[in-house]
Amino acid sequence: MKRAAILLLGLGLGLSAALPARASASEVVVYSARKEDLLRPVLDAFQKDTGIKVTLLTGKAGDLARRIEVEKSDPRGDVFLGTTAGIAELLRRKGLLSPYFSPAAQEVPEEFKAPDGSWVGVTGRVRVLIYNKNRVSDAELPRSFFDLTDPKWKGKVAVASMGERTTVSWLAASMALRGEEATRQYVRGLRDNGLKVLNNNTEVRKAVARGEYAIGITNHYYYLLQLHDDPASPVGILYPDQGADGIGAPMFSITASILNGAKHPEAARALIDYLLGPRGNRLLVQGEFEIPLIPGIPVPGEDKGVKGLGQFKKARVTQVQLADLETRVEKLFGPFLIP
Amino acid sequence: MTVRRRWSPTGLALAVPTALFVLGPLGFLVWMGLAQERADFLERAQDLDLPMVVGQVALLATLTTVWAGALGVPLAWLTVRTDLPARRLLHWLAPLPLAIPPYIGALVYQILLAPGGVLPNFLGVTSLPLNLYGVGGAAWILGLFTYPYLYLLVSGALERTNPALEEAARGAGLSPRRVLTRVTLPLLRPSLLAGGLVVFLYSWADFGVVSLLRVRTLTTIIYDYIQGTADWALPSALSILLTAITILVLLLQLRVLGRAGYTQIVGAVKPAPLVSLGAWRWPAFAYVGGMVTLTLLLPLGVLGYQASRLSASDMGAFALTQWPYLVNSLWTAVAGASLALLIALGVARSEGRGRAWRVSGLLQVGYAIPGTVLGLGLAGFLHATLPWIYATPLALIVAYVVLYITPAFQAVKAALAQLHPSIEEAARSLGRGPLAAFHAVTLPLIKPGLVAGWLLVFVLSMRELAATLIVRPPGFDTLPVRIWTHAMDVGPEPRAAALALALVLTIALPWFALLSRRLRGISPSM
Repeated sequence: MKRAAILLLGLGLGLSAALPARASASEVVVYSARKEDLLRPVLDAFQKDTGIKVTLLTGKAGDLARRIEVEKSDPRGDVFLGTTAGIAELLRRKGLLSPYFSPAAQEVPEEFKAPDGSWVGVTGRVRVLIYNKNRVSDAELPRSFFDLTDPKWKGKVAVASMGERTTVSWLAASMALRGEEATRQYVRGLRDNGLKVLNNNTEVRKAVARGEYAIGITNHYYYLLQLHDDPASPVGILYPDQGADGIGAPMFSITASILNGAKHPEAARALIDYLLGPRGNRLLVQGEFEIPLIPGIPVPGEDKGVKGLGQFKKARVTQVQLADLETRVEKLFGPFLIP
Repeated sequence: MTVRRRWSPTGLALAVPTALFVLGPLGFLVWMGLAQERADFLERAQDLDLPMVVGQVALLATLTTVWAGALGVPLAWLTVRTDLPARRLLHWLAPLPLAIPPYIGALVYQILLAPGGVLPNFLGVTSLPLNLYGVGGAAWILGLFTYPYLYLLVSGALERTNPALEEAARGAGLSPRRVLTRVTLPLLRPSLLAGGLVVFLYSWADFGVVSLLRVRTLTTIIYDYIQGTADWALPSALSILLTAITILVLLLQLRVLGRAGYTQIVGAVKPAPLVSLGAWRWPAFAYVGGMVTLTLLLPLGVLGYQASRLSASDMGAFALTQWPYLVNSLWTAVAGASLALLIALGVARSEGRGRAWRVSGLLQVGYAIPGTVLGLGLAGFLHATLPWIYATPLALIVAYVVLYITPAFQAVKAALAQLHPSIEEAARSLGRGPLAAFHAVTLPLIKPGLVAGWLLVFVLSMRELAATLIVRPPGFDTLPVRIWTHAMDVGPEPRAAALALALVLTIALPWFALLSRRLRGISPSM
């Protein structure tokens, strides 16, 4: 056994020498908070089209932010892809990002960009409600996020935990548009109404599809992911607060940014250009099931009721405004947003 | 028995860096946690309902320990001391659920029992009356997949117990039941307590199962803050709280265990006579069969079925992309286990049997640090002090050694304890040098114990998830990380199941290698 162990150890060490990626000029290290499966197609295409090798580290946004902070003096990553602007904005304030105005970003609306070029939105996601058609009829559907405190939804609604940044951003939107006190009351109302906090948005979409919960507060692409998983799922999508006096559905964006002191700045810039370029952005939008921020790229799921930019009432709040409020949301509602 | 040994340079050279790696991460977290304002912490502690959470985790850990005891202890007695059918085979199968990480067990039972799962669908209901989500479900899963810790220790103790003691008790006219309560159980007490403690601490610090089964614990709160926020202070403060409570439990155990010392003359012990189960033979066999089904057949069957839904060509392509992750897991775990064993051996020999300053007590703190906490602290500590280790595969190996040096140490200590120092001294008096004497006399005698210790650390390192998630370098994922990413992104689908199956089989492989050796007559529990 011992001999075998030594043999294995030797074998392992031999392999290890061959394995770790060596820093090379044509490499880019991506720290991504996005689902790996959804991001893969565009990264593979980038690698193929440019010959730049992509090393991907997938983690949750907070996890990656802390890693970037620790590595401040000697950055190991080049590009950070976040799920909302919040973490990117925090990194910017700590001086951890390096501004870059990509020529390809010109068509992205201003509200999805950092004014100083530290980060840029590459795709959009809309905060919506998904519902189980067997448990809710069209007639009784809520019209607004704020209807969910109604006793008739007691124990029937689920949302993802704070581990998902979009949950934080969603409450930040409410803070921006309705104020802190109203949001506090809203969250208290949800809690009293038995809102179920699940680990992540994937659990939310599955629980709603199974009928465990009638309604899920989540992002629009989870509706598409559910239908992609199982086209027969009895799930529907609903854009809330669309009425004349409604605040509209908040939008967030996947943000791309270059880390300050990145070892491969050119490759990093090339990647961001690519993610915003016609071919890259199309692949990214398709892979992620998100809506494009750039005109001329088809909206995935349009045939299933998903609406593109300008086709629904969007909450009037910029990504910077949301990012500013996210820390406050963490502090006020963090304990409530844990499973 | 109070031989005082001086610390050898080798012993010190091994012990000091290890202690540093145990204390460094904690120091880093304390430093970070201090930034947390007290008033703010208290307010959030109240919002988080921390006393309730701590109570709930304590309940979970207690339930798990009782359940694991109910599974493991009777099984140990049945396979070691009775004429249970196929008892030798069962004795080999019993520790095997260790190869299935509890979070994979939770995934499997989710597929089977959760709303929308196999059984509810089969019965045509949305959910079963018994809810898998919650403390009860988590205890059920944790107990099913941690009982082998208790089993291994208790069955080992049963094999080592000198049956003459029990015979003497019987001879003195005690009824079989009285023999059990007055002699056998007290003799088993140290192993029961030690095994119970391992299970208790495991469930206390567990992250994967409670997270999947929606139980709020300190680890899930810490993890959610780590995932969702860029904040250092609150997760650090909570981590210190969690570690402090765990260390308290450990100290308590040392007090309890410290008093329960029995010295037996080990050596020419004849095996205990087997108890005849009589009419109970087959019901007992059914009970054990049920356990094997719940902990081995069902999980392997479900994973196998899920994986088989992948088409052969997809499977081939998938295997090709995932192969490097298996290699990553394998060599870091092998290196971690080997290093841990080496350090444990050095420290154990230096400490000897004397009451020298116990570094091992310090190393044990590593066992009390939950993986999530260690990952957080280790990343910060390594980057600040040893940047050339930070974000390299070495960081993973360090994490494994810190987390699992204690089981290695316990295995080495147990092996050395059966050895009277006079044996090695005799060899030295015959003119052998210290190393030569160790090699010629001690090593062969303690080898089975070392192999067992190595194997345990290897298994635990192969399975490690929480710390690995945080300290892994970019592009260097391990198998558990891949399973976790898949399971969290898309749920327990075929590819996650295929990876889980690969992990379980890889872990079980060395076990089978041992199996073939042991069937040639070496004692199973060593």
